[in-house]
Amino acid sequence: MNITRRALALLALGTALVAPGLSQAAEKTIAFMRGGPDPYYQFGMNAAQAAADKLGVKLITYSANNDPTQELANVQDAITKGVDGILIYAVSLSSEKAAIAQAKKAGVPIFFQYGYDESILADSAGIMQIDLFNFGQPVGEAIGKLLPEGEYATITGKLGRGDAEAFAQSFKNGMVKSGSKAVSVADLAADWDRQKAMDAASQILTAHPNVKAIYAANDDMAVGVAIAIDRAGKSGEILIGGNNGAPYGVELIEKGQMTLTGSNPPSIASVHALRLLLGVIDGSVKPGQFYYAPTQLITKDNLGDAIPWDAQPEMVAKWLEEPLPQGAAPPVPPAN
Amino acid sequence: MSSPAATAAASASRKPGGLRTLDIGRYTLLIVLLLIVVITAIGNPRFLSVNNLMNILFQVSALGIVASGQTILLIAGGLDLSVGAALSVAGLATALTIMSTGSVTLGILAGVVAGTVVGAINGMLVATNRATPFIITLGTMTFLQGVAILMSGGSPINGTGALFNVFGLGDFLGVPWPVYAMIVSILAMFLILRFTTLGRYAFAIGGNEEAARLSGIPVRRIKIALYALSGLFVGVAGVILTGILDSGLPSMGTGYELRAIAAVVIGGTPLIGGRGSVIGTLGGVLLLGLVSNSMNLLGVGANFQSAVLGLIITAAVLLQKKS
Repeated sequence: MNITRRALALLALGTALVAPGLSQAAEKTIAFMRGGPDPYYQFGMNAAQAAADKLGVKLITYSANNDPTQELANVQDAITKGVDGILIYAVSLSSEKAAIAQAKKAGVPIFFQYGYDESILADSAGIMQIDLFNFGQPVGEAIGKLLPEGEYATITGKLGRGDAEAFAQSFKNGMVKSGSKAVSVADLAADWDRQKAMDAASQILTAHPNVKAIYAANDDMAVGVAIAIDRAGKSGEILIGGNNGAPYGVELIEKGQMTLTGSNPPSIASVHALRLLLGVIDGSVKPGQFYYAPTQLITKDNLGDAIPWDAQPEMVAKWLEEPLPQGAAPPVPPAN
Repeated sequence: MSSPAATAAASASRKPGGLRTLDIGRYTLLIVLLLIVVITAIGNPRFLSVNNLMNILFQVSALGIVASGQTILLIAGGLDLSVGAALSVAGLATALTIMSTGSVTLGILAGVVAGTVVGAINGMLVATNRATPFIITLGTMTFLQGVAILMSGGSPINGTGALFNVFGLGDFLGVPWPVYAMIVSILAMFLILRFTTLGRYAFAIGGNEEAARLSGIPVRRIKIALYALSGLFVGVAGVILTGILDSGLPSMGTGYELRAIAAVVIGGTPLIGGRGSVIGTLGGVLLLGLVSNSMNLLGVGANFQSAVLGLIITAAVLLQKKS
């Protein structure tokens, strides 16, 4: 009995002496949340994990499987776990608002990748994304320079959220800006899906045999377009512009089956987003700012400099040495 | 076979007006198909080009194979919501096997086996539980979606070599190989439904499961066999779609379950089972493919396409019901 009491007292004393030291050395814990199983999120998460390992940060990962309810549950669970911050690719604007309300109540900074809305910026740790309204423009300008005249078509993603519509429109704006006289003969939607894009491209080639360029609003669809062109025996005759700079898109450019892609690599963006969130947590970065995610136009001429989605640890280490992105004015929708 | 079973099957297919309704339904579908063809041909003469017609058949080939398998399930009063996710799993099994072994033959085998095994497991779950096939296969669908993501790491598995050369680019006498695969699948299902004991049992179980059981039909075993058979078709479709896309994708089967069921129902097979035909299913598959193709060729705006497709499908089904 006495021995037990003494042992307990010693244990309590030891814990009291060691605990402060433990808490001082405790690593930061960040919850990384994906909206769904999309490869883009996966690669972003992988790069953030590599950066977290180098920075001595613990990263806990969650996926909402495109379910806003699950996303909110994930946010609540992370807060309950006592995370220091949340880095999130949100499912939708409504779920963003719910997530931000929960995080704000708990005093946990939450940084968004994509899903910018004016109403949530001030309460967020920050938001990083591309300029959705002009994402397709550099691709349009580049294709326009290669196609001074003739016919072109666009295949975009799932309509209804605004991004698919904006990508196709900004591509067309780029074509006009390049000075090209080429005319748009078809605008189809293929829901960001490879097979649907292949079918759509086949139909474009049937209805408009003289089409000389096709824009696919993501590289997954560009693969489908390339297959359709291949099947039609027109490989090398039709320019293909894609978006995202995904590994399979870069591979198509290497093979000469795609002309170029406007890349928005999730890897470097996630690394910078994590750094900014950590800056907000330690007070060195002002919260509530908007940041543009890095973008790059990839052609066969600069393949060697393409920022990979699948970043190796040494590349992540290099990005950690770069200056932090600066806050900027958020993009505004075009007047039309 | 035993006469009680045959009697049960016969009584199921002799429901009042059953045959008549099916025939009229088939004519309705044919009329709708012809209307679409005529309107589109007037709007864009290229619609009737051999190249475009082959494109349509090529585009619906995987759906046609999946829907063929789903036909016998619906006839038997069953349902499999997991066919889309199973298609992804089968396709990924094919792509991953080709990637790791370099053998296209092993890849094909892996895809077909994966589809069949998934189907058999669904069949066992449905046959041995009181829960409806809808709920059970909804569960397996969710599970298989997760399996597909785990298998692929969330990314496409690219490069299928000879499989792409055959199914993606290859043809015989101007007809793409996937179209042959669809024709063979439909023919095989037609023969199974028309001339085999399994087909007769499917009609009997769908017509009246209790009567079928009392007449000596081993309902549980037949259900497992039917789901496995449907899974086999899904596996074949997975292999072919992987070849067409030159890749296995975790999302490649997304939406196939609903489109396959829609094609079967449009083709005149009721959700309650007991009657139906795979030729009708072919009509349903063609309708789905034609509508999409004709809207694109007629230049119908992307914003309208979903609404128009929904209207045409609903109209086709309602016209059949009225008749």
